[in-house]
Amino acid sequence: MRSWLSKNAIFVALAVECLVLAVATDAFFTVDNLSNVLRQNAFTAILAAGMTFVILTAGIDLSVGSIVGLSGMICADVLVRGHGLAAGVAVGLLVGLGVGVVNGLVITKVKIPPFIVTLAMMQVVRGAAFKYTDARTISGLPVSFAMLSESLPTFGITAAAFVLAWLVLTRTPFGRHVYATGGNPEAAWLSGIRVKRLLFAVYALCGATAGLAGVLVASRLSAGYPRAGEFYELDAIAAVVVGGTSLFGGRGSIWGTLAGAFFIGILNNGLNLFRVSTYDQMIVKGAVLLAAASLDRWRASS
Amino acid sequence: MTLLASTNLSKSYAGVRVLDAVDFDVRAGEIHALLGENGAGKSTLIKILTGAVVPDTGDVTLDAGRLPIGDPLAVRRAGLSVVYQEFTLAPELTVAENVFLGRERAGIFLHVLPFLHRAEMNRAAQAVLDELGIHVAATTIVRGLSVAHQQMVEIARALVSDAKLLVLDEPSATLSHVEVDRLFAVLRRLRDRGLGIVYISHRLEEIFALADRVTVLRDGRTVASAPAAGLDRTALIRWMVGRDVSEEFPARHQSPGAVVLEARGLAAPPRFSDVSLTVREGEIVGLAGLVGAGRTSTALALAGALPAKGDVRVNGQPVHFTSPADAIAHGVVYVTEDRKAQGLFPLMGVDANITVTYLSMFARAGVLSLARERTAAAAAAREYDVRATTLTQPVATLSGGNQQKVLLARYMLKRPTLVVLDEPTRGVDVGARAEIYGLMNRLTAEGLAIVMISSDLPEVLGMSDRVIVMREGRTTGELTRAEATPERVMALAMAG
Repeated sequence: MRSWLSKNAIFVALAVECLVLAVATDAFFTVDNLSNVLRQNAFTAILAAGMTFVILTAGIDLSVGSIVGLSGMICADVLVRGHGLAAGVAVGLLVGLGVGVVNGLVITKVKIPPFIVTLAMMQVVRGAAFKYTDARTISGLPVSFAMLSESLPTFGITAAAFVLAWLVLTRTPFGRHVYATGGNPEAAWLSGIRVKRLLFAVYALCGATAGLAGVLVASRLSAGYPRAGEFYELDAIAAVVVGGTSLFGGRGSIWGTLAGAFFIGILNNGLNLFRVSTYDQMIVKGAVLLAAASLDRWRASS
Repeated sequence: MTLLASTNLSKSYAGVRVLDAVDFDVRAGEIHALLGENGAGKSTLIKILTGAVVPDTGDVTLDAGRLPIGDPLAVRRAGLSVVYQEFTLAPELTVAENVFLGRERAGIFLHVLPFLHRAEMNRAAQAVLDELGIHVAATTIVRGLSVAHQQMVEIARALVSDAKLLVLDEPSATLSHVEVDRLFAVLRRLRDRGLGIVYISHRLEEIFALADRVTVLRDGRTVASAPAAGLDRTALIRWMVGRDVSEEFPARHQSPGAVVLEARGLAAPPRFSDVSLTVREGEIVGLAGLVGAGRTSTALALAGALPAKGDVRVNGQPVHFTSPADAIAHGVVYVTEDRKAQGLFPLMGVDANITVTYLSMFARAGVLSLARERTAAAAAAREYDVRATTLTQPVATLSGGNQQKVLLARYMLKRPTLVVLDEPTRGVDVGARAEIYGLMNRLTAEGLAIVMISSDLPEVLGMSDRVIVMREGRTTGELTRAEATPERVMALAMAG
């Protein structure tokens, strides 16, 4: 019983949270409110999906927020130049993938710790996003693009991303090897896992999901905004940790991440509905993250 | 004179009786060996003595004073010290600093600032080392010391705490023969000084060489406790295992086939500089030598885990492995000597640990068939007699012997050409050891080639068809099974 609770803590917490809010206020369980929650948190959730892979290998990617900005900018630019929706989205994804590839290469070839590499890239990429238009916002995007971030498409894209991530993590050798590499990198290497290739792929993947999130954010804003995605990496990491994935690698689940993202999102939503100030919300967010990390340590030691 | 007396010690975990009314006593000036298979209750007994575990019933007295059960610090202060297999030293500090760790001699400067009496501690630590006959300077940084010397530092630490009783848990597992002899000399000196020593080991020759008395535990009970003189191997094994297990190594009827591996001039300085060996189908080649001779490094190089120069051919084809994945793809696998840190995935179950290397076998179009994987893992676990309640249980809960079998099952899932086994029976009890030897025989009869690294001379002599000896990074000689004697092997391992 205790081990079931330990493994499924976040789902139970999420259920309890929804229940409490549904009972405490009429404003929560409405189509309007719930679709708002979905649209607002989809970006974090998608970022967190890619981040889950990285954190499972005991790594971290601090550059995803900046990638959201850069990929959104370049996607918007492509659209404004009239190249069509598909091109814009594809380019956005490729930008994210490109940054992820750079991250992966530097981490595996130059062997600098992921924290430092992605921290540096966070700066570089954000700088590039500003430089792209000399800090000007790109507007005048086609209406069809803005429709991508409507409730249904958002739901579809998020669901597809998570189902795909789940399939890869639990039903492919690659996914199993991600868990193994995080759990014991030495043993992974000796047991025949091509660790360098795996880590490279994981960071490339994370960058690509950030590119996807960047495209969606640009769609929501209906603009290429150089500061888009600022601090999103922190929300993504929080979602992953609250969702039960250990920062030390080797343990966690993609559905936990989804639950974690929405746990935090719904918490914010609830606090909004009760008119709690933004600043208090920040404090609550931090406290939740701390509680989740403590739970993780307790789980690891028992 | 009885130093330590424990009566009626019992302990259960979740309804399972781990210790059942155990009496255990140690006299001053005695080396008392504690024997038992994994799961017999040895470690629980030691944990009770050292204060890490509180027994359900029973009492322990040390030197006529009640031992503060459940309080490790108090137990240590009362005079009972333990040297575990995993050392508790701080590698970046000096020997003296480690010896006095937690008991630093300090004074108060000007009534305000505490400061360390460094010179005094250095002197005291050196005195203890000299007394034990260990030629190490107290100011040496521990990281630079050999495993054997680090162990001595642990012992010195115990002595400085005025230990009356010293418990050593498998101390010889990582030592070469020469170092074991030195350890024994130290232990005998301590015994003659009046210390009581509890010595835990799986190595029966050591028990006969060192112990004054022997206690055997089995299934949580004391099965026998007697003076060592007049005991024989068979009796000990029967007590430990409850049945007659021939500790002789299984007979080998080898008929080696074609050469599967040929290495010439293999070098990875400074670890090893000139290694040449050939291995045939169906053969067990023992790789002997002192700790530090470069055997594991050679194995890692063969397995692609260590970059090395030289000529290596597998089945006649020249190869150059850049990673273990590469080597495995060519049929050369390496089973690590360090199961816990480098072999197993502690967060994963037994089944996942078995299938990890050849996982792609169970994938069609990139997607895993979990059912096929589970079936294969179950079959492998049966074939290698891995004893686990369920296959999804965390692999860390298995005994050492079963963990070793999991590793074997993993690499044999797709039969390789050559396996390098590094210390395959280290930390494994007698029963499981016999099973592993049996497995090695069966696999070689089916054509597998094995290179076995072992610091256990009887094992090397008992299982190898040929013995290759290394010393300081070079192969110094090769002996056939008929030619190999302990003296010849040691001569090659140590000759100047």
